[in-house]
Amino acid sequence: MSEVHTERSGQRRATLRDRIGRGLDRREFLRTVAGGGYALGMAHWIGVDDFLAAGDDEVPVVTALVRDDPADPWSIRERTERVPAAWYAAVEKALEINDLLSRVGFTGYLGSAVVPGDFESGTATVSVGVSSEGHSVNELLGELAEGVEIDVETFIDVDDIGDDSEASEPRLGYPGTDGRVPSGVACETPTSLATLGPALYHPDGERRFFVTADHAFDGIEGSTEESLSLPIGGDDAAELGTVARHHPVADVATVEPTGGIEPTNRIDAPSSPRVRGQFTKFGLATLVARDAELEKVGAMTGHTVGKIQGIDAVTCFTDDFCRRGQLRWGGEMDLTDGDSGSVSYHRDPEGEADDVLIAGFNNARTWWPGQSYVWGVGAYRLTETHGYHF
Amino acid sequence: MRNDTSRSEEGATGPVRTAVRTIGRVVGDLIAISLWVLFLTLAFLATGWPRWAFYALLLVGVGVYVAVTAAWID
Repeated sequence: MSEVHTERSGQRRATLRDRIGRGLDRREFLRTVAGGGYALGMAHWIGVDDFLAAGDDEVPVVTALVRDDPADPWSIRERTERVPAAWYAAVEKALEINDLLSRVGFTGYLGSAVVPGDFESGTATVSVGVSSEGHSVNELLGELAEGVEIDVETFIDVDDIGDDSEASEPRLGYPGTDGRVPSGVACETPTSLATLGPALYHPDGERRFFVTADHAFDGIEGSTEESLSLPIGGDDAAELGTVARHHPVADVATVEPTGGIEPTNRIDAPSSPRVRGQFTKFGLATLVARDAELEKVGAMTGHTVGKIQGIDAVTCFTDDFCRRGQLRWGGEMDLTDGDSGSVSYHRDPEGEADDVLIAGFNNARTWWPGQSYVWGVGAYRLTETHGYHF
Repeated sequence: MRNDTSRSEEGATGPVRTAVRTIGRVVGDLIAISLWVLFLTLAFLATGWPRWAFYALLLVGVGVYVAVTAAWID
């Protein structure tokens, strides 16, 4: 009897010791279960199944705003195209995560962009630019929760339109017999030179505008001399109009025509393209999927062609705010001072031979090693935020 | 009386410190796992790897993370 009792108490002690030993394991077990549950929950919140479980069918997506009648800017209609569902889901999710990253805005975040893959692959990459100076991973983790500002000290703003006038001569435009002047030629603000964009329209009151880069008016905003003119050789200039609105975040200034010259939808390139509308965000994504190239005509560098490097980009390195809905394309040699305000475009795949659709504005370029592209606000972004269209 | 003193000492140091340390660990775990989920999502967006591999890597990663960090904690 007593033997049995001792045996029992011995067993009890053993199980207790085991339990104490196992206590650690249980904590690990609990952490694994809780961590795994949290990971699954977060994956669900991000919506990974949207693209992981996408089907093999096709979905319709709006790729462009195009004029029914090439001569009537108020006849724009949405154009839809069918794209693979898996590709659409991947691009859509990449756009969402890109937006999420820019809003978390962790320290060192300088910007990011989405690079869609081709239709067969059904993939999309989010390219994130992070400042590498002095930020250890630990610091980054610590600051992730706090949302600290971005260090921009090492970047200098070269986007001022300077007076390096010994450079090549700007392309001058002359009003045609119809009193219209094409896009892609030089225009002058009281302080600097930029490129004139094609006619921009606003549905409110059916207004049409000349358009160029807003930073060409740096230093004189609010003064009464906010005029835009067309240099026509020598010291002569023709009046185009006065600024209707500044959009500093988009870096676009719209100019009300006052001088008898009208904005037009022609671009001053060899083929004399006619602007028929603009691409949407997904329209640009389909261009990337097809490895298509964009073109532009700048007042200084003229006509250049290049590949799209990223859509719906966020850039936070030039000002104390972030610019969204940016388009990155080409290389840094495609843009120089005086080309700001030009537009990037691509042939309208369903239009006539000389019809083109606008992708976005060109307002700045990279000036740091490792990357090479031109960037500016996408036309779709301007439509979303301010209602303008080409 | 003796009981009271020991209890108040515990309140000032032991349990508070333990609680702070526990909260710190939990927050650290959540940040680490969040980054892991984000990394995997971006990797699978860019590669188009299958769904089962995503969930397998997700859970294996959490397991490995816990096993590795458990040694640091004690």
